[in-house]
Amino acid sequence: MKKIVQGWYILFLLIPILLVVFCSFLTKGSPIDFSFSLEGYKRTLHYGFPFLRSLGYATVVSFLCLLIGFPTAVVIVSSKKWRAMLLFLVILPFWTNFLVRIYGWKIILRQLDLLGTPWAVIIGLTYIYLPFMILPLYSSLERFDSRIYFAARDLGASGLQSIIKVVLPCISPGVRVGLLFVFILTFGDFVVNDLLGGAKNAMIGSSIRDAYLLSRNWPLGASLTVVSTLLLLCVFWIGRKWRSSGT
Amino acid sequence: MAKLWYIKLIGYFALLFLYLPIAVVIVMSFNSGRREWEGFSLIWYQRLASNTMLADALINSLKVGLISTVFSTILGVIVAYYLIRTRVSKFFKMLVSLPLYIPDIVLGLSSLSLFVLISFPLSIWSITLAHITFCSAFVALVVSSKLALLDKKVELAAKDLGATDRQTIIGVVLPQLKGAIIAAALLSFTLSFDDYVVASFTGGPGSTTLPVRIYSLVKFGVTPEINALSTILFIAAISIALIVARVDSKAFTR
Repeated sequence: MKKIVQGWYILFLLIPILLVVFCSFLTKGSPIDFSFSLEGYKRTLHYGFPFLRSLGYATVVSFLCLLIGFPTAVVIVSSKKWRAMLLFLVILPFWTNFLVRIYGWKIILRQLDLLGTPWAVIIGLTYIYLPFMILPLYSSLERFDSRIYFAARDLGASGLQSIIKVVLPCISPGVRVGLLFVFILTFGDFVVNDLLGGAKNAMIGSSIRDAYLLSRNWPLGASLTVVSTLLLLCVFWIGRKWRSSGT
Repeated sequence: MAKLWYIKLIGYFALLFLYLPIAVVIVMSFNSGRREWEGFSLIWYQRLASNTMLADALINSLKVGLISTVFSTILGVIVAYYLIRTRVSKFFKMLVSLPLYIPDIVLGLSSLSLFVLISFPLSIWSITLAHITFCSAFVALVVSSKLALLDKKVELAAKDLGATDRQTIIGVVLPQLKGAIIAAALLSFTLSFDDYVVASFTGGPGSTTLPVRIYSLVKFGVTPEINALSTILFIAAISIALIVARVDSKAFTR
C-alpha cells in the first residue's frame, strides 16, 4: 500500500516537475522537439521587466501585508471575548472564490479610476494574500507574553519603538513565515495582474502562462519557471544572510 | 498593544477591508443596471437561471470537486496514517508535503506536461487527477495533526484484545478522526471548487470549470450574472461553514 501511495505522488508530482526541468533544455516544436537546446534560457533574457515587476510587487506587497496584518493580529489576539469570532471573520473570505473577490475590486477600482494601474495590482494582491500574513502572526502572538511589551513601555520606549524593537523580534518566526508565504504567492501570481492591471505590464507568472498556453513555447515557459524558482531561492538566501548579519 | 490608536485603526480597518469587495458584489447583484446603481431588481438572478453556460460550468466544477474530494480524502488519510504511525523515509515526507510549498502555477504546468506527453486527453478527468494530488497533501496535513494528538495506547489496547491491524484502523482510529476527516474533506472540496490556476492548465475544451468560466467573464466584460451567482455561492459557503462550525468547532482554527 505504501508503495502505491508513493507511486501516485512520484507519477503525478515528481515526474511532472522533473519533466518541466527537462523541457527547459529542449527545442520548441509542437509542443516540443526532443533535441537539446538552450534557446529557452537565451530568451529568458528578454523577460527582465516581468521578473523585476514580480520581484517589486512581491517586496512591496509582503511589507504592506506585514504593516496591515500585524495590527489585525494584535486586535484579534487581545480581544478575549470575540477572538474566535474575529478569527472566523479572517478565514471566511477564503470560502468565496477569489476571482469573485477580485471582481468586487474591479468594480470599486473602476469607480476610483485606478483600474489598470500598478496601484490596482498592489491593492488586489495585498487584499488576496493578507490572510496568509494574519494567520501565522496570530499564532505567534498567541504565545507571546504581553508583559514583555509592557516592560519595554515601562522602561520608556514609545509604543511604536517597543513594537519594532521588542515585539517583532520576539515573534520573528511568525513574521518570517508570513513574509515567505506572501512573497512566494505574490511572485507567482498572474491572475490579479491580469484582471486588475494593464495587459502590457506582465508579471512573470503571466509570461509563463502565455508561453505554455498561448504561444505554445514550452521550452521558454519551462526555462522561465526554472529561473523563477532559482531567483526565489536566491532571495531567501540573501534574506537569511542579511538577517544573520543583522543580529 | 491593542490600546494604541493606530493599531486599533489599522486592525479594524483591515477586517472591514476583507469584506469590502464581497459587500460590493452582493449589493451590485440587486442592481437593475449594468455598471452604475440604477435601483433594486432581481433581474440578474432571473438571467442567471437561464444562463446554461454558467450552469454547465457549475456542473463540471461540482463533478471535479466531489470526485477529487472523495479520492483525495482517502489518499490523504492513508498518507497521514503512514506519516504518524509508521516509519517513513525522508523522501516520502518530502514528496507528500511538496504540494504545500510549490506555487499552483508550477503544479498546473507540470501536470500539463505529463498529460500531454503520455497523451492523456485534457478533460475533467485530467483536472480531477491534478486536484486529487494537491488536495490530498492538505488533507494529510489536517488529519496528521489530529492523529499526532491521539493516544496510541488506545490502539495498542485494541490489538491486545485481539483486534487485527485492519480492525484497529477501521474500528478505533478512524472514528476518533471523524471531525478532522470531515474538516479535511471540506477543505479539499473548497480548494478544488475554487481552483482556477491548475484547472486552466489541465483542462481542455468542454471541461470548463466555474472558476475558469468566471475568469473569462471577468476578464473580457461586465457580466452582472456573476454578482448574482457569487452572492448565492457566498451564502451557501457561509451556511456550510456555520454547519461545520457546529459539528467541529475546531475545524476553522487549523
